[in-house]
This record gives sequence, C-alpha cells and structure tokens, in this order.
Amino acid sequence: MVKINGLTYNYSSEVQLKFPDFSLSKGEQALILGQSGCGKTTLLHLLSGLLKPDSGEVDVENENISKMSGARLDNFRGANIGIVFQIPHFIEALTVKENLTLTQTLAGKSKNVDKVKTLLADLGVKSKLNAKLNALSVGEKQRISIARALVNSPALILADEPTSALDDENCDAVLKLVREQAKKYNSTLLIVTHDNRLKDQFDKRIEL
Amino acid sequence: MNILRLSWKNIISKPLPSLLSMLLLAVGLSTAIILKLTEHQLTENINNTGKDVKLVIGAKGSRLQLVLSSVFQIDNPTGNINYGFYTLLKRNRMIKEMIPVSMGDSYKRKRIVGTNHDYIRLFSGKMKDGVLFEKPLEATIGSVVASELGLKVGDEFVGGHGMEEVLHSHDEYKYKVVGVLDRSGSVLDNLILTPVQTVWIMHAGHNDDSEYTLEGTEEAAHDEHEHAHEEILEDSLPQKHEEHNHEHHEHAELNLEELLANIDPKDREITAILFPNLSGNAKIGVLNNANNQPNMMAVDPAPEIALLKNKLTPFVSIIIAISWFITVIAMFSVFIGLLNSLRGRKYEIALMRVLGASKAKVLVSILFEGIILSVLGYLLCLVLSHAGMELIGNWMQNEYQYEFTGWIFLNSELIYLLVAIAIGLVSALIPAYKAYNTDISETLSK
Repeated sequence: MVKINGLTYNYSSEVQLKFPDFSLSKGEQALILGQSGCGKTTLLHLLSGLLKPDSGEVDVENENISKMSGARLDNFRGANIGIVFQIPHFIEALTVKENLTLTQTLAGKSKNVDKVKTLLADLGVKSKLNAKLNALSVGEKQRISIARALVNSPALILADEPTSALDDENCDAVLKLVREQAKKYNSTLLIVTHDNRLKDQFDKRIEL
Repeated sequence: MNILRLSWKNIISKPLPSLLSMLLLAVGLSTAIILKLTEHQLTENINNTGKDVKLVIGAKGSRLQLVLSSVFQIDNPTGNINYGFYTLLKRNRMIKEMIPVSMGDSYKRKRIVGTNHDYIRLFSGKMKDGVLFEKPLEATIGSVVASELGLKVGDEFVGGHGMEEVLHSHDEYKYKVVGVLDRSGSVLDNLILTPVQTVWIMHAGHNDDSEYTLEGTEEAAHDEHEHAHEEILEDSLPQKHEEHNHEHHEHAELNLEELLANIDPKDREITAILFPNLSGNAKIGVLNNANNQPNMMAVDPAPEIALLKNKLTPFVSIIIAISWFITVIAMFSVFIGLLNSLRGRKYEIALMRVLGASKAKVLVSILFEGIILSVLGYLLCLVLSHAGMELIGNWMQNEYQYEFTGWIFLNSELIYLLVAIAIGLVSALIPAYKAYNTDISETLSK
C-alpha cells in the first residue's frame, strides 16, 4: 500500500538525506520518530509528492508517485492522501463547512455536506459547522484539520507533528480521534513526530 | 464550493481594499462614460436642432453667436433686424420657407420666442394639449416649461425683458397659455412660443430706453428696404409706411389690433430669420443680399457648428486623458491589492495545492479575483456615471436649453466592460503567476 525504496533527497551537496526503506499495509498505523532536522517533514513531503526525490521511489496505492507530475500528481494527492499539519491552516475567508466542501471539490469529488456533518460530529466539533476559522481554538482547529484530512476517505493519512502544539489532554484526545477515524475509513496512518508521548502507543515505529 | 465562489469569498473577506480598487476603477471609467453620454446627447441635439436650418440671417456680430442664439437658443442674440426685410423676402418665390424668430424676453428663465407655426414644424413638434398660438399674447409652451413651471392651458403669466435676469417685467399685458407641446427632445421643450407680434406689443413704448432699437435711423431702415427691393424682389411693391403715431404710448386702453397697427415699422423687429430647405441659387441669392445690408449678415450654420466642435476637441481630449489616468491608477490599485492579499495567503495557496488543486487552478482563481473586482467596478461605474450624468444634466439644462438625461444607455458602454475585464486580467497577471509558482514544500515548512 505504501512503500519507499532507496529514497534520498539533497538540499545541497552538504545536506544529503537518506531514508530507510519501509512499507505499510492497508489500514496499518505507524510512527516515524526522529529529532528536529533529521528530515521528518522532508520525508512527509516526499511521501505526498510535494517534493521529488533525487533517487529512489515512493509507491502509494501501487502508483509510483515519484514519476507523476503536474496536474495528475495534484489530483492523485487530493484524492488519495490526507495531510494533518503541525499548525492547522485553513482558507480564512471560508467557514468550516466551506473549507471541507472545498476539499471535496478540489479533489475532484462531489460536494457531500452529510459526510462533513458526520465527521464533525465524530470529532466533537459539530456545532462549528458554520463558524469562521478565526473564532476557533487551536484544539478545535486541529480537530477540523483532521476532518479535512479524512473528508475524502483517503487511502493514506499523513500527520506532521499533529500533537506537539497541544497539551496532554488534547494530545490524547486528538491522537485517539485520528486513530479511530483512520480505522473507520480503513486508511493507512503515518504519523511523523518527535513527541515522545506517542512513542509507546504504536507497535510499528520507524526511527530516522 | 467551486473556484469562482472561492475567489468571490476571498474578495468579500477583505471588503475595504476590495472596495477601494472597485471605486477607483469605477471613477475612472465613469469619467469616460459621462463624457461619452454628454458627447452623444450634445451631438444628437446639434444634429436634431441644426440639421434642418440651412441659413440664418441676423444682426451683424459674431457668426457663431448668431447661430447659437437663434438656432440653439443658447447665447444672447447679436441684435435685431427689421421685420421689413422679412416681408420683402416673403415675396421672393424662390424661397419656399422662412421662419422669423424674436428673442429677448423670458419667464422664469425660460425663453419667450416670437415666431410662426413653421418653427414648431421645423422641430417636428406635436401638440399635447390645446392649440397653436394664433393671436398676439397667446403662447404655446414646451413640455419642460409646462412641467417645470407648472403651467397648463388657460394659465396666464407676465413675461419680462431679459433672458437670464429679468430687467423689467412687461406687466401691462399677460401671456395666455393656449397649448402645450409634446416632448420632442429639441429646443422646443424649453421654449415659450408666441407670434412675433406679441414681442412688438410688449416692447411698444419701451423702445427709447431699450437695446432693441436698431442702431440706424428711420432713414437708414428705409434705405435698407429699398436696397433690398432692388436686389431680390421680382415684383416690387412699394412698402407701405404707416404713420408715426405717438398714441401707442397709451396702449393700455387700446385694443391689440389697433395697437399693432400703430406700431412704427421701424419698431417692428425680429432677431433672426431661419431658412429651412434653402439651397442652390436661392441660398446664394439670399446670402449675398443679406450680407450687402449694412446691419445684417447671413450665416450657414454647418461650418460654424463644425468650427465649434473643433474648438471643443482639446477639452474633450483633456477629460479623456484624465479618465485614463484614473483608470491606470485603478489598475495599480487592483494589482497592489491582489499582491498584498496574496502575501498573507501564501500558505493558503500551498494548502490548495496539497488539497488537489493544480497550478492552473490556482492561477485561474487569482485571475478570477481580478476579473470579479473589475466587473464589480464596472457595475459600480454604470451606477455612478448614469446618476452623475443625470445630476450634471439637470445643471446643463439651464445652460443649454436642452434636457440632458442620465437614463440613456449606449452600446459603446459595453466596450468599457471589456476594458474593465482587461484591466482586471492584466493587474491579476503577476500576482496569479506568483501564486502559480508557489513552492508548496518550502511554504509549508515555514
């Protein structure tokens, strides 16, 4: 389902990153651990096709996304990969609902408000459907960014330090939600983090 | 949530900068459109009013002033000519139609014109109410006069001497409204029409101190008649001179017929004679004849109007330049506005790409923002320009005796929609290209 093989990325001739090979099966949940600067975010960008590797390949859903380019890659990413960022960002001019339906249409899927409502209910932010983003707390924003990552039922969910900005209580809640939801839609979940609070909760761990 | 809606939402989320860009664009385009509307209506007015007058005879003075005063009812008359000349020309069979006009009086800033029924026919005037004037002191009024002054058939009013400000009122006699004309879009709308004889009656007894006296003596006027005789009369009949009668100073007690009969021929004056349908030899004959008179001149309106238009060209060019200047500033405003707004939305652009939007889609969404702003600017400009034209029109009506309106729409206004869209596109081009080239990975890593 997700497989990386001989992946390298060079920022410059001095800074060269080499990533260990690994693979995840469908629905599997795993943690990528490493200290700051070891290339965690770079790996995540390589996995989602935002960066092109200098060598090696990335397979998602049996498609070699390292070979894809342009609109085809953008489309594939939108439809198959959901990303949760460390600091949740949204289109500020839109409401919660509009941000989520935009995510559906940008991925080439039809607008489905029921799905949006279900997700928000599952994540405990049902009442925020028509709220503006700047009226939400960080914890609420992170839940909504999880909803956004899930709204197209992607095959792969990538989360970049999703809990490091949250307190212990929110950290547990957010982690629990993201795992539950990934399971519900049978999505493969890969969390990139240096947050040691998560370490013991995953069987599969990849150290960088 | 499609791209167009997203662009719209982005615009309204920053209402003030968006409004500023729209307003600048609207003001720039409005200036151009108001100019077009004015030019169109002025040209239409000049054509409607001037096209059927082939020659004007009036007192010597500025040629343009004679045309403006007697054809367009704008400027002050150059002076007066004797009615005798008109009656002489009347006998020339080659002249099919001629219209006397006599100006100088007004009622509440509306000009009173002494003339005949041909004058109304010249501008295709139609009766709305009542009848055409027949007898002295009867008045047929234009539609704007009726509506603005609230006059209707049967009403009476006292006219005054002077066209802008009444120097003294002719309160011995009252005008009686016998008819109201339909709106014609010509000078008729703003005039009060009456027989030329009315003007003589009004001015009988005022001649000694009025500017209406011909500069020449009675003798000169007499010579003038004879001179005219020899030139153009085919069958010359001796001009009948009525006896000088001083009794007309007590005109209040006399009836109008008697009063009229007692007015000295030298006091029977008109401002000008208009000739519709005059061409060829007849025109040349009249032209030469009038120009040979000591106090008269004949003017062909067409070249005078062309000359006037030429004189206006530099002013029109300046206004056009100003409107382009504002429009270019508006373009920069849209450009800077979009660039500013995008600087704050860099992460959002990267996000759109992560969510599946292609580079092209991002480009289009920014171009849409430019286009939406410019189309809104255009719509605002339509409102501004037509409301503005209506306001300016009300002011100009008093100056030009012609109703300018903001409620007409020209096909050429649609061209400005294309201009607006082009401006929106051009100013969004660089911001859109920047968004197109956003490095997603780098932006998201910050």
